[in-house]
Amino acid sequence: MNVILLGEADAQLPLRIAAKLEAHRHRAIVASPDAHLERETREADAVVDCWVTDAAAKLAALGRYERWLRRDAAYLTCCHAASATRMAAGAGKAPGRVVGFALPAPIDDRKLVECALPLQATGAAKPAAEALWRAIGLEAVWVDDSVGLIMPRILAGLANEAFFALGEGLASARDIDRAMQLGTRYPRGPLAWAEVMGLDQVLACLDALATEHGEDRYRAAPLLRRRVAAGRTGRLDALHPDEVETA
Amino acid sequence: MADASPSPAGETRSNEAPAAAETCIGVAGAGTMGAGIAQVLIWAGHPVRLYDIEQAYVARGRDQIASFLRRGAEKGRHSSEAVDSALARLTITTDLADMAGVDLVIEAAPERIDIKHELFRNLERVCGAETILATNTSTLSVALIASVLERPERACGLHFFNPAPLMPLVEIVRGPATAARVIETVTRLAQAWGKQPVLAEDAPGFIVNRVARPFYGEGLRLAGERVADYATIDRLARDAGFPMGPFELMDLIGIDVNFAAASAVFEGFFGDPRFRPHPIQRAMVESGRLGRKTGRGYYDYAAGDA
Ligand SMILES: NC(=O)c1ccc[n+]([C@@H]2O[C@H](COP(=O)([O-])OP(=O)(O)OC[C@H]3O[C@@H](n4cnc5c(N)ncnc54)[C@H](O)[C@@H]3O)[C@@H](O)[C@H]2O)c1
Repeated sequence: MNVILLGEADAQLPLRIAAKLEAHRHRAIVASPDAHLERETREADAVVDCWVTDAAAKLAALGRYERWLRRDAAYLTCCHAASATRMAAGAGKAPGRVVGFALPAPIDDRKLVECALPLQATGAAKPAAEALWRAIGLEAVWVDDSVGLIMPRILAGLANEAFFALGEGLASARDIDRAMQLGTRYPRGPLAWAEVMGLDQVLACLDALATEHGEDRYRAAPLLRRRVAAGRTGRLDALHPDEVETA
Repeated sequence: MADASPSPAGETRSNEAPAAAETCIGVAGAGTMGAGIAQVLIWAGHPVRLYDIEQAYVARGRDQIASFLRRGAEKGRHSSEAVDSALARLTITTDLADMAGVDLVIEAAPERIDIKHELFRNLERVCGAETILATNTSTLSVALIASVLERPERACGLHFFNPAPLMPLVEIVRGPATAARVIETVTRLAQAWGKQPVLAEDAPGFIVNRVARPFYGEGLRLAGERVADYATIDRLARDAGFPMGPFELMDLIGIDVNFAAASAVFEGFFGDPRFRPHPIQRAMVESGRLGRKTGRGYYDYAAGDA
């Protein structure tokens, strides 16, 4: 299988998927936004757009790569901060082969991947999408198309509430994460989890939900927005260096 | 409270918790939480006075503790001698005057402000000036509960999770008047009980009952918008590492209990839409589908579903 992966320069998702594909002896190319990959795209079985934070970049990439794709190839678009339907609306030749997916970090222990067909779908790309995920050991679970699908939306909500609480001085970052792990047995604290996902990606999900639903409910915590503005999106700058003890 | 003796190694332990046997603790309310908390305390070595309004209720509380600890002994988790000596530290009473002389009272009475206010007023009358008065409330503010005290600085929240003997977390809640010494003392004590205390300010839902809301709230909205059904949402949540998905967890907690918590936080934040409960929740409660305890909730348990 030949797969082209697109995404933010510092994004983990395309790299993780590429590593898994290569481990299963498939060919994966992680492309930079300005790469010229017409020949490779014509040979590809799928293009996987992992972009989250920049809807305009997603649409531009779609417009560029989709016209080179073979008829039976799939164009997979990450739905963490966009609906597949909106992306498919930007596909000129064949909106029907756009398939949405969600796979929030960390992905290494995942067995399932959320998949969604846009309203314009013909369903023709479903087998190609399922084959791609099966190739890296993931079972496709089909849900209805929407911004953030299932887990990105739930996790962004949890992270946002934790950032509201932190910003209001309700408790320390360490105590908020510890409380959620010990009191509800979450696998990681919502603040630490947001760092693994990237604060910029969490914020993009919330902003897209706020636009889509027009609801104050998805208003991002001011502290989350300031952290992103300051470039402290996680991964490198830990909020709280202490290891969280689990019960 | 008396100072602890220095340890054999010579490092002073006088700043740490006094020997548990020397710190007497009262528990007011012998229901689910009060009995569980009293069990934690006697197991940690404290003499405990467990109070409720009727003899039958305190007796039931003691029986609940005894059977829990005896089951542990049968399973070989601890000796039956340890159970006997723990139970010997438990005194049950229906006379609030027996709370005189305790160092700390943990209130676990029903979640009604009239009951809690009367209890706190009477406790202040009965107990010494230094006695710490803690509440296990989930949804009321420490500020409100302590407002009837002459010395509100002695009050704080000590929020255990159900079942108290098994859940490691205790949220220590600092009310606007709570003295620093009160927070220090209950933090040290909670650690000595083997709990993991966290410190929270006095805001609706404290940490867990507030920050957890989107887990249920977004799950309900996703189901309501028909993005996926309950079982699919639960399956995806488990795959992401949660021990249970939102719907199976609400069925376990009780949909009515979860709805009440959601409504309390929503009201506490004056209707902030982040906390708005979902009509599905109310429909479930109105139709008597409360989860596992009624055999039917988001899943049907009678039919062997889920
Ligand atoms: N059940 C939970 O999961 C849970 C978890 C955390 C905190 N809480 C809080 O703990 C408190 C108790 O909850 P519960 O679930 O144990 O309730 P419960 O109904 O099981 O127990 C309450 C007990 O208080 C007794 N009581 C009634 N009036 C009293 C009075 N005037 N003085 C002393 N005792 C009186 C009742 O007889 C009963 O035994 C509430 O504030 C609740 O919000 C409950």
